[in-house]
Amino acid sequence: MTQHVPEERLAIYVSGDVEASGIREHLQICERCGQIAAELEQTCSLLASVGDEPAAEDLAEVRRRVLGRLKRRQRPVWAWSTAAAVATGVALACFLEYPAEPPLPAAPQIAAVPPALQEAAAQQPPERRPQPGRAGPTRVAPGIRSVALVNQPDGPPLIKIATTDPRVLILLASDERTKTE
Amino acid sequence: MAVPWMAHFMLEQDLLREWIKKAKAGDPDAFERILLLHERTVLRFAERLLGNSEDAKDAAQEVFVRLHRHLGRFREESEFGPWLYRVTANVCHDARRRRKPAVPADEIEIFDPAPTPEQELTAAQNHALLMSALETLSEHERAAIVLRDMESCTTAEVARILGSSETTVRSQISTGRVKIRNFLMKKLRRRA
Repeated sequence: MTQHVPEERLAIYVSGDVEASGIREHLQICERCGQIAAELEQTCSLLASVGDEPAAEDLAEVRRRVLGRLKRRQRPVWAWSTAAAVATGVALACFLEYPAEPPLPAAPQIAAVPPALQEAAAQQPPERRPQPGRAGPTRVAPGIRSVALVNQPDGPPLIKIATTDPRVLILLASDERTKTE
Repeated sequence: MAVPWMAHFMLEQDLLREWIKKAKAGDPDAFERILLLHERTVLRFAERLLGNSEDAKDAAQEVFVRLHRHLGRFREESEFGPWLYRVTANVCHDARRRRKPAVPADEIEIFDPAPTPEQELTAAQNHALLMSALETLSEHERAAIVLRDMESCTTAEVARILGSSETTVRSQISTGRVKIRNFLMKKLRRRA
């Protein structure tokens, strides 16, 4: 090999990343390339020997920041889970407080109707009778009619639970502010 | 695929497998153990890429938050080390793009109040000099050099981490080494 070896080729030769055929022999006879190769070797040694391990306080700070950030991300989930559990509990309590109406007693069976009464009944205007299977206008045990998330401009969002009893409206507010990351 | 350049990962493979499994299930203690095991590697790599510890701490924090978010995606522990390096490189790349341009490396002078006749540099001076030299490289060259020459990865591993071919990485490494050598020679000649 009569020409000089390109520096880039020497740069990967010194770490064994390129086939050495011809280069080794050239370096024995070419002072210039030998000098460059030696300097590149020193460069690699210098890079490998840098003892720049992170400081213990820096590691502790990173750990503290990471765990703190993850904790803040998880907290709203817990808050809403708690709110949902409370809402379920309140709804269940309403059902327990107002037990369902007992079934109406079965209507007495009439064996026969006198003809006079049958005629009188035919002349009467039709009366609104309760449909079979309906208990009539009885009080209904309250239950959840709707659940909505209400965003407030100045405060945390509310969970609004409307029940079948118009007098009962449940509002749940979280005291945790959600932080966006 | 094994990652021989990360000895502690290999030693802790079984534990790591267990911790990943628990962390995926939402165990915060297991995640903290994973963090403790890898924080040094991530922060050191980030410091080498970014050149200062403050930016590196921000980057390391972001890497671990992303790790927490993506834990469910890991199928094998062997993916773990390369993934951490890759994400750290990406986060640092973004951080460098956001921050203001640094002082050009050629204008950086090494503070050396009493150089010895032999021009021996202290460890701190070596470090400062090399950090300045790394600043002269392109993003890809810097990442390749740090992984290959400072983190002791093989060329194949560097290529895998950076998502490039070995040929490309080899070219980046050779160009990077020549640039660093030229920078160091220039600085040392100036001192002499």
